Amino acid sequence: MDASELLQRYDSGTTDFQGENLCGVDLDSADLIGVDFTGCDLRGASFVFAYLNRANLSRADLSGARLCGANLSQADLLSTNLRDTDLHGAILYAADLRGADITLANLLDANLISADLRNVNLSGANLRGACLRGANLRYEKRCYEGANLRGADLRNADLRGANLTGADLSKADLSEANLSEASLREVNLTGAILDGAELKGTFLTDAILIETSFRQAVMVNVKLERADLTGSDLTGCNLNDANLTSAILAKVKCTQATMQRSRFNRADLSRADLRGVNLTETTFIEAYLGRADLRGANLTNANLAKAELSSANLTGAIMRGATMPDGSNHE
Amino acid sequence: MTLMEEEILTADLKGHRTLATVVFTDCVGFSARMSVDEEHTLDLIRRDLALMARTCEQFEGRVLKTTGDGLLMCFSSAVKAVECAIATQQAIGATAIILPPKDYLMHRIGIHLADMYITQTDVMGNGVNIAARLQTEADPGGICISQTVYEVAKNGLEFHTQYLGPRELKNIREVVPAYKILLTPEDAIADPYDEAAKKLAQSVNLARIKKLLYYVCKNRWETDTFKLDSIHLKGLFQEFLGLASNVEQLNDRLETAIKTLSKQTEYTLVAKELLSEATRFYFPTQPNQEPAAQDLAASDQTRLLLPPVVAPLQRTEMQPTYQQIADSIDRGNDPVRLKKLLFYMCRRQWESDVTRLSQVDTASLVQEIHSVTIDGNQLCQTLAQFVQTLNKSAEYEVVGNSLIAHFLPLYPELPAAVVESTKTAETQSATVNQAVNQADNQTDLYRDVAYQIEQSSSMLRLKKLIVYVCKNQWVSDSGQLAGFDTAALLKELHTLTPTIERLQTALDAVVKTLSKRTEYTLVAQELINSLGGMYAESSVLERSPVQPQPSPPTANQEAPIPADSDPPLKSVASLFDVRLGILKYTNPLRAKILVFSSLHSDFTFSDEDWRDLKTYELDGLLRQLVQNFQTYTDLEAVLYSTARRLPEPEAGVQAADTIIKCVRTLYLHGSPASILGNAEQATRITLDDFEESTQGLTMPEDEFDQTQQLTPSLRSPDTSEARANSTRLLSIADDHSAKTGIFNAQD
Repeated sequence: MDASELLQRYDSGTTDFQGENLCGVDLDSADLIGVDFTGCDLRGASFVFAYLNRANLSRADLSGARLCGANLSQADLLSTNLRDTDLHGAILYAADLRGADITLANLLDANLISADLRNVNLSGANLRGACLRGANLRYEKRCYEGANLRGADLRNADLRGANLTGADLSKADLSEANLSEASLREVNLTGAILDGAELKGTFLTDAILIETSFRQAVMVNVKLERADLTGSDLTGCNLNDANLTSAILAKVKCTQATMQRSRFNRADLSRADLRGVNLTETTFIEAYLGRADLRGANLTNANLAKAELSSANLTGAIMRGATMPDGSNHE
Repeated sequence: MTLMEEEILTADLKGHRTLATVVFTDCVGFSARMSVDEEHTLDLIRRDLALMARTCEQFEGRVLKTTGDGLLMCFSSAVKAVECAIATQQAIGATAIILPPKDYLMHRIGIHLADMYITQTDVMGNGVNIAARLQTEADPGGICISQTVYEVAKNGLEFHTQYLGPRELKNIREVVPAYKILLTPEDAIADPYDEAAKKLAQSVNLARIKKLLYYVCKNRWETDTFKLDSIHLKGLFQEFLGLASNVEQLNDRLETAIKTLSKQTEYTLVAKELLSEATRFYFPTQPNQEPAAQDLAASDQTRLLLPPVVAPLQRTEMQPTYQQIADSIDRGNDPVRLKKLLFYMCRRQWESDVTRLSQVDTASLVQEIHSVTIDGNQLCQTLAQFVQTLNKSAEYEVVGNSLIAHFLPLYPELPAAVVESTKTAETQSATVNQAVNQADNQTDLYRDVAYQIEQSSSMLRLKKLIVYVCKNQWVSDSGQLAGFDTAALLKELHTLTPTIERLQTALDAVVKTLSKRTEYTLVAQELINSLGGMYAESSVLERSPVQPQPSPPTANQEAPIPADSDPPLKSVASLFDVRLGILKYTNPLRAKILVFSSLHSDFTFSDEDWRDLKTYELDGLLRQLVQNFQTYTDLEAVLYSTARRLPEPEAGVQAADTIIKCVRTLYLHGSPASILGNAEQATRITLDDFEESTQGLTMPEDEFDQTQQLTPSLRSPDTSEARANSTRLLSIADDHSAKTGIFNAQD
């Protein structure tokens, strides 16, 4: 079937095109609202600026297809093959993409607001400037694995309020992205880059953040309980009011960061580089600071009760009003 | 000491839970008074607090701590607590009668009884917060108590109260029924609305009255008795009166409403009852305006901010002056607007009905203003603060300035120059330059610029921003803000940022950390505009007086904020919300093609162009767009013409429309109010603005803050540290929840 025949049949009221072979069909700007392409072979097809709102593209093969600027809002794309598909500036608002394979696809500036992305594979995809506000990528026990976003390019993406619980974001690039209020519980961000990202109030509890880069990120009020930040780079980042209870911060680099009023209770800060960090009013109760470098840090009014400080380097640190490990007040 | 430490370390200091009555006092307009005369006000507050402490002891209470302008006291007996509060207010009231207005302060008192957590020096818990909030509900010189306190104290004590109804207190989840204690019998009829509401409440037809009122006001018939019970009769009645400007109109309204009902006869009676109450608020229309206005002025006397004792005295002495000013206002350029503004300042409510406005005597308004503002400076300040809250603040700024000019006879200390310069305030930057030329040396320059800033309608915000940059600390208490000398701050700012580019970078970095980012971006812009003179001058002087500060040390080499990379681009801090709007309301790709075509060559849909487009991000394109087209009209023209050139012009125009709407916020360099531009809200003051403009007191933001607020947080003494941080900055959240959506702003 070719494009003109398809459009003719669609105009005459047919919407059911399940399982057709439509390889390389050119349907640019076509109005195909509500069409059913379930299981179709649509490899290399072109849908530039097409209207595919509420279309059913489940299990279709769209690898290498061009869907730039296409409107796929509320469309069904369950287990669709979208490998290497061009979705540049496409509208996938509230689309259902569960189980879709979106590896290496181009989603530059795409609208993925409220999309259901559970169990998707977005590894290596280009999501620069895409908007994933309120999108769902979460892991669900025995139903959905966490989304796979390994090595995805998410620079400048808008992920506010998105749910990425349990997602794999290792080696992803999230520079300048906005993750405020997003849920990233238990995510794997090993080796990811979050330079200059905004993470206000983001949930990163139990996350794996080994050797992640957070340079100049704004992480005010971020929740990092039990997170593993071993060897992360937190240079110049703003961690005021953050909660890092029981987090592992071994070997982190925190120079030039500010961490006022943050909580580090029971955290492991061994060998952490905290030179010159503003730590006023922080709490380090029962924290482990073995060989931590606190030279020139500002610990005014900090609470270090029961912290292990014996091997920490405190040269030139400001300790005014701080509570020392033995419970005494530093004069 | 942090809360945490206390909990963990010092079990003995940990305190204990107990049932207690907490009395919370607070001085009215303390910050405003402080800004006028610090020394004297401090003496006064010391005197009053000492008196309170003594009274407290007398009634077996315990002073837990001072909040600077008030006390937190704790009593084991609610009766004693109420007695103490009454005794305090009466004692202070008694001295107030003898003393001239500048020698006394008024206090509000709130009392609540609850299970709380008491230590030697502090008391915490929701109950304390309720007491603090109740305090704000009290009249100046009055007492407000919760239902709980009332129940406990009413039998042990002879006192008159007035039920205020269930009050929704900020940040308190449950509604708290509150009572006002009537200290003097005449207080009882202080508010004519209260009286009317009381009369109506006693009527046998109460349920029907409520139903009818509700129907007329809300246009909905409510039969649910529970809902009807929860209606605040006074508020509803006031709303009802606000519907019409005279009795006839009111009558018409009622009649049309009743016509639609089934029990017409019954409700006609109810309407009559309502009208008889309402008539007292209207006066025989037009012809006999003079005496009517006089009457109104007299009845308004009770609502003056000053106790009535003082007012008549001033009234007789100054009457001719007031009349003279009133006449000049009435004959002035724009009498209606002048009067609206006057009315707004006096009553804190916006009156747009010209008829009702004309019934108010201008002279009495003038008098009211005079009685609450101590000197010309304060007048300017209050005026600026009120103007800030308005929708059309730019226009009203001009109106305000001419108003000040009219007030010259009352405030001779207002030098003519002030009036002159305020008159020309619209051409602000021009004056700055002029001022710069006249300035003999750098210090004069700072002072002049400082003066310009203080005259600005967004003075508070400007100052907050400067303080934040210089002191690395977010100060939202206007009293504290007033404590900073603007000229000195400017000098510090100038030393910190020797060039205008540096200033820009520093401001951008700071603004980024705020939650009201859009507003403050504009404020920053305004700041840069008004400081232009300062920097222009220094470049002439080859920046001799300033030590060029090395650009703020950033981590390692790869500084994310290169100080010299084109500042206009940087000035647009984050475009997430703009982009969100575009993505939501148009096709993102179409938007990109349109912007791309406007900036580069027309998009031809060739493979080459597609590839090219993929190298651009919408974000980058938008930044470039805003940078290339400095004015809103240019932008509009270009986008529309490009849209028409491209294939599928309709879709293009739709995209252009959306982009323009979304980007518009970036072009609004006017007052921040115009951004918030929610027509409904702008003319009304929200509680926060109201607090800011009248009391100068910022209220604690959340319940935890409440107890923390009492001890002002200390600024980090390590200034070098603070400076190093000054560009990156700690975020201290601005007051409110962030992000007013752009679309919200456009409505």
